[in-house]
Amino acid sequence: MAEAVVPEVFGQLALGHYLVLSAFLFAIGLAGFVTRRNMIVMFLCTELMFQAAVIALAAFGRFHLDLSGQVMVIFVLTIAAAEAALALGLVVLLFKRQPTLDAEVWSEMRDA
Amino acid sequence: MPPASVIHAFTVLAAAALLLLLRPAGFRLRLVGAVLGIGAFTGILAQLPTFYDGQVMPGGTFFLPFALISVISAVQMITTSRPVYAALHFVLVVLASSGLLVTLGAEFLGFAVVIVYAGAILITYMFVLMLAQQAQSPDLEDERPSYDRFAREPIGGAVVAFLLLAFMNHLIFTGTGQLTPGDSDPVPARMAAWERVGNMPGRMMELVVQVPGYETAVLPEKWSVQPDLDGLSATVLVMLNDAEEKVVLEGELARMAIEDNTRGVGVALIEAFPVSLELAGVVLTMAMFGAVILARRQIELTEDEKREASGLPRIGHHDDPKGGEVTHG
Repeated sequence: MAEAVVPEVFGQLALGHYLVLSAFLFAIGLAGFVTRRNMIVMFLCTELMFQAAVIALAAFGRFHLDLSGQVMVIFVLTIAAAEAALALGLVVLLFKRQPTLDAEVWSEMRDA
Repeated sequence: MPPASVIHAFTVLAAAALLLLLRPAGFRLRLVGAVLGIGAFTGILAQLPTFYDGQVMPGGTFFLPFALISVISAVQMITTSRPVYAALHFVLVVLASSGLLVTLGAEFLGFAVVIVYAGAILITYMFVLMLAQQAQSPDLEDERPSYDRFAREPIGGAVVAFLLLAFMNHLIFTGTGQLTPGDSDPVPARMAAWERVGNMPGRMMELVVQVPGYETAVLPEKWSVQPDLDGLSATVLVMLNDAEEKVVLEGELARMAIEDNTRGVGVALIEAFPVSLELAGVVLTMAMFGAVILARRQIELTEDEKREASGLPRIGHHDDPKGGEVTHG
């Protein structure tokens, strides 16, 4: 239930505050995905980008007083869970072939 | 709208701060980077107008602490050289953003995010991390592996990420002012909530039996929920001692009936996105199949073992345990 009247004691926030926070988290996640070389941490960085999307969706939902934003967050959670299961399965599979988490090892895509 | 150069200057400052933190630098440089980054982040936030068209977002004093915690732990997560610490810092990001979700009025999601992310997904990551690291450290004297200590292309990564950030900031600063906020008149929302209650007779009776004198009321053949003009109370038609009676839900009971984030999200999910919900179930099932297929151990069966499994007689010599000369590899 999107209740419109929220007591506001200090300071006033706009939609932009939440969106800027979300943009920062997304940019940090992207930078991490590009710069980290550990496969598991790279996937963690994608989860960080999902988290940024979650904040943006919830803020937009609150701004429009519409519950669809929150419903979208549920789907984001679903996709994040599916992605984590598959990604970690892949990491375990790759780790069995070459016992390292370094993503550079797999930079030449060929049958190892 | 502040001059764009100010926002872009803060974005460049944030990128420089991230670069300082990505390099394996000394404590002093890292401190400078942290101060620069926090300054740039709060600087951009301070440039924002406080609200548009009277639409104030909730959060107030809680926003800045939660925002700072999540951004600082996100930076820690991508700069630390220990993967386990990265996962723990991500838990901190999740907790802070769950706090933000609660202040945004999305209580259900606030808790769901903690349960699903911090509880389930992160535990899986930790399991894989520990599996991988245990098998990998031959001696404890060894330093952390080089691929965790040195960033790959830190300059390129920071430039790309913060170009995107600059673009998004530009959009946020120019675009959000033109959005029309949702109708902040609460009456239509309350009316919709009463209609929702009318569609859930079980929930309706749960509330009705809490009214003094109506503890034994039952659901009539044709029930009705009639909200009053401002939606703060509603008249419900129920059966009491085989006679139809009208009972008024008001005050605390009315608040319980209409301010219900969890039920609201559930109804919105089923009503507006039923097919997407089914598809999400299919995606999860396929992900489970995929994970099982990826993780299974490959067993090479000989030709005779395959024939035996499908109920056919062996081809090779019966006294030969390997299956005879017919099978190859």
